[in-house]
Amino acid sequence: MLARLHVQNFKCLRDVDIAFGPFTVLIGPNDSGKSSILDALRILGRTMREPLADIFRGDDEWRHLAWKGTNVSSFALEVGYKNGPQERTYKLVLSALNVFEEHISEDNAGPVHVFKVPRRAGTRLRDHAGGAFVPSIKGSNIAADHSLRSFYGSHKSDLHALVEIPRYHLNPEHLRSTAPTLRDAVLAPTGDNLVAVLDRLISGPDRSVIVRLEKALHEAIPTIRGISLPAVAGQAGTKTLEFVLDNAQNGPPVTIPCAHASDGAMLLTAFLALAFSDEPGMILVEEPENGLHPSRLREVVEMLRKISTGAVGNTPRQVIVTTHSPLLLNYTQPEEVRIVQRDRERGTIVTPMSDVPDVHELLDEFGTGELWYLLGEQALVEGKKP
Amino acid sequence: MKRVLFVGDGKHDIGVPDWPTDEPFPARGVVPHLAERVAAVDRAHSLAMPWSHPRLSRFQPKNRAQRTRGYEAKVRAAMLQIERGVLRVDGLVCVVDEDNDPERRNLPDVLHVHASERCPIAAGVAVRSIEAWTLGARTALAQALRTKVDMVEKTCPSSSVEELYEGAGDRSRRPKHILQRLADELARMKDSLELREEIASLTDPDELCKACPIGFAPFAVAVRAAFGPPPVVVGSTP
Repeated sequence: MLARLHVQNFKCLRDVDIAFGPFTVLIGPNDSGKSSILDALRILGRTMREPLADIFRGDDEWRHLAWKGTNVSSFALEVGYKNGPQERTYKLVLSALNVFEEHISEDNAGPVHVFKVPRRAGTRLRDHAGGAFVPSIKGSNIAADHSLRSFYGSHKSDLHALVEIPRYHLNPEHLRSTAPTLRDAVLAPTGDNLVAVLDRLISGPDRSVIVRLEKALHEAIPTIRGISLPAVAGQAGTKTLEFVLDNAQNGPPVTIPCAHASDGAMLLTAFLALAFSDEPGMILVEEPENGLHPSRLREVVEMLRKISTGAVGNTPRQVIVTTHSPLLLNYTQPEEVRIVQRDRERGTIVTPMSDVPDVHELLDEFGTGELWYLLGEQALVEGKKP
Repeated sequence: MKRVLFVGDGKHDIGVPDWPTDEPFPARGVVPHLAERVAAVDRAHSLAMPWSHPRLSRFQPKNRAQRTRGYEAKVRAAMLQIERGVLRVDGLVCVVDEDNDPERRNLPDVLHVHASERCPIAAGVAVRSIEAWTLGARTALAQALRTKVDMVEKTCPSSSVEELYEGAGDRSRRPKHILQRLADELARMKDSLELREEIASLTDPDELCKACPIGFAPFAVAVRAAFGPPPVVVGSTP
């Protein structure tokens, strides 16, 4: 699991250190830096699969990505993973002169091994992940090689999770769209392809997957018994989603097309599809509250939390959510929440809600979302005035 | 002099913003003027919010150990914002109309329990509506209408102003109607926020305490206890 992200001089993140848990919720006003945090993860993920020259160009050119407040000569993206009490870190440094460096540290106080990486090449970490690693021949780099190999070996699945980090901004209308069935279907960031992903799960070798998905859906929305994916008439290979409901007359179950299902049902089904599809990677969800009745927000939060711990789904998948909804936030714990603010001089500042002065005392009376709504980010972080 | 946040029920109590805003607005109306008459309250630099303001709304989960409800919950929301510096004032003055709910008379006791050093609270109940705090100030009413107290007395019902009620079947016992009739018949004016503010600013607190012993008198004591007595201006009438 990604334990920490440290970003320096990247976009509005001048020097931001953010700790992540299995389920992390970012709150803050528009333009505070929430998206930049997700962008930092996206860029790091790309360095795991593409040559650096292909990444840092066009919209992602150095000059667009670097902090603009002062003259900076480099920016750095660093991820940290827990290894017992120690934290192992991997840092990518990019200078204005297009000089790249990878820094590997095996523990908090240990040596930092540095690789210089040519722009045209990929990172040494990517070489490792892709099986194209060529060992160093110079003495000093042999130790660094060893450190990198050890780092990769210990956090292989975590690093692969970084490679593909789709940012889901799910739209219920897109979730309802019909889709051609594909063996390797994945959910699109706005929700297209949900039907194809469900079809992949239903036709997969493990029949229990769909049973568990339907059970979790039924627990969240008791009127729903299951799902069915009938073919669309006249469109070969294309399917649509229907929900199987209890019959109020105690007769056989009835089905309704997803066009008549609630937005909440669509959203929860999509999250379950993500949880049970064996794609690697963390799940970044932007504003899951959109289009949802407030009474469904608790189920959404509980579902995402269960996905993050593996209580729902095949394996635990780390979840990061951004929200503008105090109602959604009311269902979170302060330990799960990071308050993102923007300061003109210091750029983005991230504060864990659990660090807010007196937060547990305040939570005896107020909800997490209420505190945010009534106080705003700054007053929340600064605490009581004398 | 203390800047405070006034929370009340409507235009005549605490004013309304001059522009559409979700923020607290400069305090106007009867309550701020009366508060200034009885205590060290800086009315001109105080703020106001109606009870219905979104910044007082609560949507707390039910499982909180110290969950509060209704007016109490709204007061706690206001206090939180004052204590954390979101609302830059020194305390809270809140007034509710009793309307047809006698249980509201207990509200000041319930709210005063929450007062803190950083956020003193003065709460009051207008019995049975805020118009009593205007109609009870007969001398000020006469002054503002440029007439004599006798004339005001003749036009007002003889019973206590704290018995007048907007829901009364007899129109002549509805306080808003009485105020409008006074303004119209004695001064060819319309009842307005400005008129009520003028009356409040001329009000003799002792006279009003006698006229409104259930509502205004304890409120005046509470405001003075929370914010101290008004400064004595040399040459002014005590």
